[in-house]
Amino acid sequence: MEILGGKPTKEIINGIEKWSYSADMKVIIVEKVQKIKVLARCLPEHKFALIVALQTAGSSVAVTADGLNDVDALKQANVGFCMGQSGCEIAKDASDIIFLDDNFNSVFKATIWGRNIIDNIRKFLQFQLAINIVCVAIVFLGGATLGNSPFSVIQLLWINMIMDTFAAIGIATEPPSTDEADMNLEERRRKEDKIIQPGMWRNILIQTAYQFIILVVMLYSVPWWFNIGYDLVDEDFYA
Amino acid sequence: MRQHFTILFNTFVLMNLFNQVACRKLGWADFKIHRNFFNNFWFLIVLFGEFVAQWFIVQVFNTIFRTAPLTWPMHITCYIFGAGALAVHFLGKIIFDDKKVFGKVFDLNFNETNEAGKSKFFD
Repeated sequence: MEILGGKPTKEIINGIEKWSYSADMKVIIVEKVQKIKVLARCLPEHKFALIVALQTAGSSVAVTADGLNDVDALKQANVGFCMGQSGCEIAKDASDIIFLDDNFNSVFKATIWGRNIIDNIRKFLQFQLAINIVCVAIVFLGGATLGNSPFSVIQLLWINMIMDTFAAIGIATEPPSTDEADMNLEERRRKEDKIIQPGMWRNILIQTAYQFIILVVMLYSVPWWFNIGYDLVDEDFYA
Repeated sequence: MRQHFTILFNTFVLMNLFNQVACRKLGWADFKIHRNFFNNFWFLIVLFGEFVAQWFIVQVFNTIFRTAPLTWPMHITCYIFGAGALAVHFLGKIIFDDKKVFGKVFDLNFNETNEAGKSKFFD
């Protein structure tokens, strides 16, 4: 009863007696699933039903298991954890992540790194969408109005290295933040959150607009800022 | 005229290098770009290397990159507009601050979220 924190025992569901396959099983489980603390004497089918019910209620489910009878549950769960030393082979095959040290604390580590990965992907997207849009737009505009790309081929190669290789090395390898406030759990941790969030679209669009405007102004006027003016259209490029 | 396009190229790269720093923050009103700045060794190496390489591309490797050495006023102009990317990042966060209004305006994802509970079990 320690697990229940002194709550009445009705929150313990006896799997075999209460749950059986029936037409309205879905309704029963979804109603009860939020209150369940312990599921006693359950069959593999009951574990499976519990996971499906939790997913129906909108949760992401992680399952830790090690036995042959848990294979269904491991497959159905969003993330299946399996014990590396004590688990059987078929459970390892069905699971997504294997605990090499058989330690439950690794669940927290997996959660932290999982959140970190999606955050890093978001950071990378936020950077790369802006630079890509601006680069394509300015090359197109230069080609259409001046008859040539403002950036030479090798320059574009360098820009591409910055936006792909170096950004991947620099931004996407960031370790998880140790700062609770920085993790900002409410803002981007829900299941229905999209990969590019409104705040990111805002940053991308503003950045794109700024860079594009500055570059367009520079494309047509910079020679006269520094008294190196020449005829933009007639000049033979790269002479 | 090579100087003209070198200024353009230099400004574009510098704007994105500063934007790279700003992009590490994802929060709606997260202004603290100094926080956790030094937590990623590779990021610092890459950022420093990019700045140095960019300088050499503009000033030294002129034949390969079709650039021309810039004068100091030109360099300063490039860096001002480059750092402007960071300023604009902050400015956007200040102007579009109201999440209730602008959260919907900037919600540009067109695909619907997947429904939970699409499983083989209840079909």
